[in-house]
Amino acid sequence: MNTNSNSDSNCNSHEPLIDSALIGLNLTAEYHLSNCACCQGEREKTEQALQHFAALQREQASRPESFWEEQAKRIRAVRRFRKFNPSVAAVLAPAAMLLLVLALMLVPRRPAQPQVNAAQGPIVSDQDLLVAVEQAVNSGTPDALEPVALAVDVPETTSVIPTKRIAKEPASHEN
Amino acid sequence: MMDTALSTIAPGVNELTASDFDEIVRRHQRRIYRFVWMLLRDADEADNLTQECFLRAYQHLGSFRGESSLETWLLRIAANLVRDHARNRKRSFWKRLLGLEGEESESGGFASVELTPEQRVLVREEVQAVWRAASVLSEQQRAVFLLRFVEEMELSEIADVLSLSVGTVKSHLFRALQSVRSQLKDVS
Repeated sequence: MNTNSNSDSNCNSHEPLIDSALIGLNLTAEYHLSNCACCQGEREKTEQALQHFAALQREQASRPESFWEEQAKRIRAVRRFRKFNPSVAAVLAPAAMLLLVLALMLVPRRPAQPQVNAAQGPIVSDQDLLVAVEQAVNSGTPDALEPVALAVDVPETTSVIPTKRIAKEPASHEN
Repeated sequence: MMDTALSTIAPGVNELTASDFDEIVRRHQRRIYRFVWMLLRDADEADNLTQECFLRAYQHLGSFRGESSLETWLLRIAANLVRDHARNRKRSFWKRLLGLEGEESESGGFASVELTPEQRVLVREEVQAVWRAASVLSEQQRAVFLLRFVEEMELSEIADVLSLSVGTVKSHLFRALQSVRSQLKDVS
């Protein structure tokens, strides 16, 4: 590669040298640029743009003095807090657990609903209660042992068929 | 570049007093903030991450062995925080960049520099071209580019901050400069 070329038409072939010079990498690049007006112009143009860019970045990132003081104050405060509270989570976790348990204990529980015996159904008056007792006596079967479906389906006025008789009645096809 | 604070800290990190650390914060907060801000383009996030950077540094002072300057060590912590932040939020640099371009156009920038209106337009175009070039780079390439040309850091320092080899830093810079020169060709 001819690094001493002054010809503008050859400049493109030396682009890596311009980059090297911009990065500040090697003397070969510097030597070429000192002898090539085109590459030197390209380098200056790029350098200028980069300088403007950097200046704008610094300007945009600059903040008033009060901002830095405030930030330093905040860092100091958080640092002290963390220093005296090495593990906030370690302290807060059991406390949160305790609060949760207390909250669960303090929440009023709903009183348990008395379970209605589906077999008997709700008894609304003394008269109904007497009829129910009479049916139970007539059937000869304690309420607790009476089949649920039978007790529910049988109307109050009809008498209950004794369970034993039904069980002993032979099926017609047996004869 | 040897940091003076480093020589104070290196012999006995555990002996570091609170006021010593406050001095470290005062000395380095501007650069750390600027670095984070350049990568995130978000003032609030940059503020938060700068704060977190110093808190982590304080927490892990014991792991600082003095092999690099204190500032390089702090920048490395900041770079890691930015990387984690970007991963978590999955933010698009493109969106930030578009936001920035609007911001530049409005403010014009360069408040401290005397420029003619024509020069101002040209400078704005140049800066936008550089941003366009930066936008096509990967996050790592962009970080290398910004550390070199805005923070003016040495290649070895950049490699140290970003945990890369010097060769990788060079190749990222070549890639970045190619992109910049390509974009600048369109600017008259």
